[in-house]
Amino acid sequence: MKYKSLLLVLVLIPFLSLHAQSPVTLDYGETQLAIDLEPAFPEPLTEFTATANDYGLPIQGSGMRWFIDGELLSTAVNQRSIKLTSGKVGQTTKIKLVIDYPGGGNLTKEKVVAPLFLDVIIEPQTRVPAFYKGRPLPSIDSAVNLTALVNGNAIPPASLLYTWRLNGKVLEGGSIRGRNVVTFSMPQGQYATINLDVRNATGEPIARRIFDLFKVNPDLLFYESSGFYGLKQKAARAEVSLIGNSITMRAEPYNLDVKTYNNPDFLEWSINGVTNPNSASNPYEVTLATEGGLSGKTSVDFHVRNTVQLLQGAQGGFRVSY
Amino acid sequence: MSQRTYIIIATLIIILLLAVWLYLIFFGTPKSPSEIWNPFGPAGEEEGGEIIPPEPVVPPVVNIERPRLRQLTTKPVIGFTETPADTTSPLLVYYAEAGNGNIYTLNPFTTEEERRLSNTTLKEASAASFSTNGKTVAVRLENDRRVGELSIGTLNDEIGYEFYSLEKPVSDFKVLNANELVFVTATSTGLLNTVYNLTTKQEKPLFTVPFFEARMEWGTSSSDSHYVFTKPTYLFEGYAYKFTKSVMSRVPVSGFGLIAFNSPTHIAYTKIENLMARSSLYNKLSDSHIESPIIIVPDKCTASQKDTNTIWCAVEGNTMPAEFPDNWYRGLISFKDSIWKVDLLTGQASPVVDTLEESGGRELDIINMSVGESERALYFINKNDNTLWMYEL
Repeated sequence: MKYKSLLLVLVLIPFLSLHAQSPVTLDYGETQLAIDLEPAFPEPLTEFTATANDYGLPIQGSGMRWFIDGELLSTAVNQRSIKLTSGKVGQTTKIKLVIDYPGGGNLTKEKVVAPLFLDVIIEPQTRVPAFYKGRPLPSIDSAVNLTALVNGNAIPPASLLYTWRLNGKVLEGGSIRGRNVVTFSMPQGQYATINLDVRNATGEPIARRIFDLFKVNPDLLFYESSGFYGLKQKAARAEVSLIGNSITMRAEPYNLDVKTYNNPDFLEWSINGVTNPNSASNPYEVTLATEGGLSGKTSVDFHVRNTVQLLQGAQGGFRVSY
Repeated sequence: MSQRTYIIIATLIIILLLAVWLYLIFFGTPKSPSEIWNPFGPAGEEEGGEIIPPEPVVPPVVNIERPRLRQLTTKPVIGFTETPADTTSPLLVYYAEAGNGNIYTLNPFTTEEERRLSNTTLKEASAASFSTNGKTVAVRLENDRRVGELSIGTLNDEIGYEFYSLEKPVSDFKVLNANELVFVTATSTGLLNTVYNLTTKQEKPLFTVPFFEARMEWGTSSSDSHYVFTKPTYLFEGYAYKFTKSVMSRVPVSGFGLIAFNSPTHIAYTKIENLMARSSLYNKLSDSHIESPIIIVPDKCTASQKDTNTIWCAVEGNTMPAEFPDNWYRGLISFKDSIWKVDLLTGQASPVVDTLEESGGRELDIINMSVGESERALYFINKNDNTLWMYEL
């Protein structure tokens, strides 16, 4: 009897092990198979690539079938990568990958692509003239506001988690629900790298943006100013002709930090190299007048600077011929 | 004559011929081959090989008609409109002068003198928008600031425009039709767009843009959809949004340096790709994009009121300089524009006029282009001096 039981166990062992091995193999396969997207979060109506990440599977010679929204993509049989175009906002695409083992049986993986627009609106707090229709640019140490909009605010910010990173460093101490606006100071270096991850309420990532934000040096242009018409919107050339007895010129620094513009540590006009105690109500304006019958050329220079952050400043000049 | 005389004359002739022959032998040899060849032949074209016919005498042309492209004002202009002809009035153009906000009217198709229609000086008037019938005008003051007080003028047939102040710091505004004005004020969270009824003087919020660096493209009534674009720079990506009954949605138009013109059926836009400006036409109905044959600069475009698929745009050439559009908005560069008619459906463009040639060398950097209901003429401002011009279609 003892030997009979032993024989029975020996006979059943192969069957027991087979029974135990089958689920182990499947589990192994399912955990290794993945569908990778490039870009990882496609925008609406854009082309993206779906790739089978099957390198962890034990059998590389398997067949592959791709199904898009339930329909077999006949042109992509046995292809590891397929190119697709995402749908409109709110329109999902269901991608199903079936791996057919050579010896029979298969493995499937599904991924749903829900395209989203993730816009990051950059608003540097630097100075540009009132008539300027473009956007100010960031300069060193200037404050920069970033506003993230998902599908143009169609998904309320309060329902999402935002993680902002500046040059790899997490801002605001970590992910914050509803925090779609963030402010930082433009750091040293030619550019700053911004990284934004957006997750839904369950913590699942839904969109990501990474981009470089380039910094500029403040620069200066001069415009003729009229108390009547305001600024002429054509920048003055290096030489300005004085028609009549006087001319008022305005120095307009572009992309100078608004704090420095409003409260400059150093601001100076000089005429032919001599500092001019400017009495104009607007320190950025100078009025030049000729004294009867004289003719010639005069150089006029302007300089504004923050003496703590020396790169926050601009200087330039022009010549007046009369 | 004696025989001796004959012999002497013959001898002299022989000596003279001998002297000429000797001179040619010693001094008459060409020094280089080029002295031998015919300068009119293919090898010697120093003087040019063509026979130049005499220029025909062209009698001077005296243009007794007014040119189709003409300057309407010498004053700088901050806003204008064309009003249609009716039983009591011909087609007229109303415009507001920069600096003082004086309102004038003129008939652009006659030589009649312009008429001044206001006695109120609006100091530092910097922008103006007229109602479609010209009876109402909104003028923004304080030309040195991004925001300014808004004055509203209503035309009284006897005393001209009478103004009252809205007493609000307004950044952007437009009179949409005969009865509605929309204006923008800043709040802590963004830009509030408010509609103001010009008859009842009641206002109500329209929508709020959740950021500040925005450029509005309103519809022709408050109940229309309105479009908002981020202010452009070649360094940042720009986006387009639509507001319908205060609900915001994203439009699939974006790109670095994005500038866009909104027409009833399309968005014509330009973005910078690989340092080059590239323009496209986005069809709102079919949700599709096609390439534009010309570079689109929204400040230089206007939409037809008769054909929803036609726009006119001004542009110089088919490439834009570096750091466009920033340097153009700064006033560092200017253009010498030609006007084109663009079919938005087919993406075909046909030239209308080369303003440099038509004006005899005057450089016109066109902005604020507009076409009246009559579509008899295009009107625009020359950015170089802010004067008002027209081109008869």
